Amino acid sequence: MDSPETEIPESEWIRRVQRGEREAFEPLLERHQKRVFSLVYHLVRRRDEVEDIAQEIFIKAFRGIRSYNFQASFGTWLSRIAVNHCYDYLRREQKAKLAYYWQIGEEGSRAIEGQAQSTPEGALNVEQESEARDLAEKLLARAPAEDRTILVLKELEDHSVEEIAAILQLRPNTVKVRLHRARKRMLEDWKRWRQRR
Amino acid sequence: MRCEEFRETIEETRNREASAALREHLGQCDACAEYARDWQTVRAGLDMLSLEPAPEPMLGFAARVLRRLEKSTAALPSREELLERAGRRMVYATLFLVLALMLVLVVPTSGPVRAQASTELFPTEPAMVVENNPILVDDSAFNLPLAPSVPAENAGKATQ
Repeated sequence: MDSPETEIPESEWIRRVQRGEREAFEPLLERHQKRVFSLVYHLVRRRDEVEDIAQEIFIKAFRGIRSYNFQASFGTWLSRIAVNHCYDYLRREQKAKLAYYWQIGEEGSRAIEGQAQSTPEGALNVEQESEARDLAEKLLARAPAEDRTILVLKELEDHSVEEIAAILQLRPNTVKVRLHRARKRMLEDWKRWRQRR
Repeated sequence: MRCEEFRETIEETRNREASAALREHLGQCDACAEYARDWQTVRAGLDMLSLEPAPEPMLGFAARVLRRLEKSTAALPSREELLERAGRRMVYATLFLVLALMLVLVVPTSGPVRAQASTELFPTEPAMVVENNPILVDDSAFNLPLAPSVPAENAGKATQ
């Protein structure tokens, strides 16, 4: 049986927080914490930082909740805060350390390269998948923060173009264009690296 | 269709779903075929990454956030408190202005009660009034006969 608290719609909890009831934020936290953790982890890729960043995101959401006007879903609004927060984090991180081609493991990449050329359509074995995973992780880490954000939302978080448009406050067509550019740049980056070797 | 459009289709299409037109183009265009192979590899990697479980919120995460909120909101005055403080200051300022205005209106600045006390304690001469009339003097008054000149050596004796 549902407790009386779970019967209260989300919008009611939001209104209560907007009126200044701090305790009413707890059910919202409980409901959305998994989504925020997943998004933060996929964007930042640092397990040790996820909780701190997620806390900061929820604190920002609490402080800004009066500006929430129920036009988008609360989840989308919260994702927007999370994406912006992680974007700033990534920008700071990328300024602090530069990524170089040698960060892609030479052996792994050579193996993938060979396999990519010889593999029949759509079939990768476990070892190849693991190497492809490492390559994708490194390429994502090297991608500019804008590209990484949109790629994570589409490829890892599995959002639709419309959902991404709502989160990033862009038009769906703009999302499609940016997504294509981000994928293209990622592949060009890999190709450049192969040519330099 | 241009290569760029085919590549957009490649990104959105899994191999099994590729259209006849795309397959035909891939058979003719080496660059697009390479693009398709690379994307296939990277997408496989991205799929693997998406399957990895993200860290779960640790027990008490919500409570920790609420505690942090409590601390931070205790340190900072709330919006209501700020408004209340500002309102209180406005009321005090208005009261002060009203009192000052009442004092100005009620207390007389002149009248029979208030003589010029300073004149009694320190009687002073009435100030001289000097008329600023021009003094006209006849130029002939300055035409006095000059005194005989005394030579320098006799000047001392003359004073003795």
